[in-house]
Amino acid sequence: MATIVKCARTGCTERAALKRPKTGHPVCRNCFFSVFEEEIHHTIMQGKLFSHGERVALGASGGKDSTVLIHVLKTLNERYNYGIEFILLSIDEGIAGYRDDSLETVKRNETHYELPLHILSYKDVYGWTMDSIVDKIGKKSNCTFCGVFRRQALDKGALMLHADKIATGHNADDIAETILMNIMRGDTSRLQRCTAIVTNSEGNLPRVKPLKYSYEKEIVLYAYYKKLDYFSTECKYAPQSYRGRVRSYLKDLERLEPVSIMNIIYSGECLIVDSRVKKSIQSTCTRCGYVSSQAVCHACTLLEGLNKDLPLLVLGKHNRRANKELLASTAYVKTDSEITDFESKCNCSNNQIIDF
Amino acid sequence: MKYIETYDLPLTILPIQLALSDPDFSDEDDLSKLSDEKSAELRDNLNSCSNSSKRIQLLENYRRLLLIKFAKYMNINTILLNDNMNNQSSSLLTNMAMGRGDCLPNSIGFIDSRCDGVTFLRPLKCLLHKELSLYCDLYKLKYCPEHVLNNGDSILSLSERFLSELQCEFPATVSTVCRTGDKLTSSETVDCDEMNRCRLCDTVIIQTDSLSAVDAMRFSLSLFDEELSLDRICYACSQL
Repeated sequence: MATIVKCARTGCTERAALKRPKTGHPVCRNCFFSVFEEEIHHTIMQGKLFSHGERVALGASGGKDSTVLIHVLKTLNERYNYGIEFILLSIDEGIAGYRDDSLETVKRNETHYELPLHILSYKDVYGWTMDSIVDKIGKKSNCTFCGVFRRQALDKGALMLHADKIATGHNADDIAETILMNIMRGDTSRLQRCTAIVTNSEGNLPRVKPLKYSYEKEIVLYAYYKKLDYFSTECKYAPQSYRGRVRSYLKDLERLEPVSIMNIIYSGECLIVDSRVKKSIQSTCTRCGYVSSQAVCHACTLLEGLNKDLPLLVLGKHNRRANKELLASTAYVKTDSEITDFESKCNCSNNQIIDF
Repeated sequence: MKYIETYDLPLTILPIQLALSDPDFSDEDDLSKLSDEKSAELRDNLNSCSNSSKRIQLLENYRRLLLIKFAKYMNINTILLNDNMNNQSSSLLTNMAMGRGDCLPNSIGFIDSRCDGVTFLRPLKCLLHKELSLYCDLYKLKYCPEHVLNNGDSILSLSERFLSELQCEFPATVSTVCRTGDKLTSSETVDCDEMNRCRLCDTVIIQTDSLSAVDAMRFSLSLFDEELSLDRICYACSQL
């Protein structure tokens, strides 16, 4: 005879409908909704993510994370009177069979939640779609292009909409993945920044991640039980990515020890980079004015490479000919960290590259 | 053991269960008696761990505690460990997944100075396993494979497999991970609201009221009337 498991919340006598992936507690459906929403409310209040009267652009992709983000924030805004005005901002990367379908979902969200929606496409902003970029560069480094372009496009879109802040649906699994990625790549600058719940580069709009401590599995369960309308297909370019391998490792970790995702986030928050390690200095791009640690920002450099038929520019450290051509055509200057073992620094000016 | 004896250096073998008590290392009878008494406690402690990852961590903590106790008895202030680049990179990822980010610079760095009076050094941490094997072969040094408690079902074995698969395609993986670890520093050099040390691993416990993963977990547990107490124990050891 099967044992009936009761909900673990004090005072609740309902039968448990699921076991929480995050803490392992058996909970009934209503208590699950309640604890999930309360945790996000706690994150918002403790992290002071919003202020009364703010206009917040919600990154809306039509996927489970952004749909749950929209639903929960609208619910909490009404329940706790945050006094925030939300607008939906969607970026169309131009991936046929993926983004065009998910945008239909976002349009339904616009109607259902009665929130204004603005869609900005890569084609409008950069003149390229992701499909045309992949045709050019092949199936490697796709996420680099997409991530860099999307980030800038979100900022541009939010500025156009006069938003005070951008909220994205990055969840605990995403943050843990990013921490591991930055360790694997040796990117200590990003490692220090990536655990911040509010990222606030000067000149850019602040970005907040209210779902930072929410597990992806719980987001899926919440969306499923609430019967939310979302689009759930993986980007067709994602499996070949480096991040895909790290994601697979993270999923295996979660299977062994579910709390390992929170452990990785905790560990990432504790990491302190030695002050003697060289840090990137923030300035602005000489071409587009976007915040950048280089003279020309990453997006402009990637675009330059695409437009000049040198698409792998900056991506690999061995493209010396390609880098030389770019150096000749623009004012791009390599930083010390990008100078390869085969190049050296001239004593008279540390920014000049000499070929042996 | 016969390989170590060929070096003609004083050798002491201590049962790990002595870490659970304060033994008198000068009295062999006392050591033998304590060892028998504490073996049941050791077995119980290991069995109370819910998975092999926690068992491995707990044994590692006991090993460290015992080394410190014996070093203090012998007036030794420096202990050299045999960690190489491969196992340090796996340890880095494992420690991240076990919530040991706060002691990472000590647990995987060249110097581990968590304990006053006894410092651990890792002189081989910049060498790959392959390089060490080649060195042993060239100089015809005899060694036996390390006894690994790792039974394949732990976070450590998962991390080792992940890194060795990546290393095949990206040969700089292991060295990059280790170099990232080298760029980290410990919180002992930073001002904190409150400081005390974990009784198991000597890590500094930082208490703060601002939003963090610990605060989020504490809140999640409070919704079910449970507590996350970090009184004289760090976040990672509280899970063992």
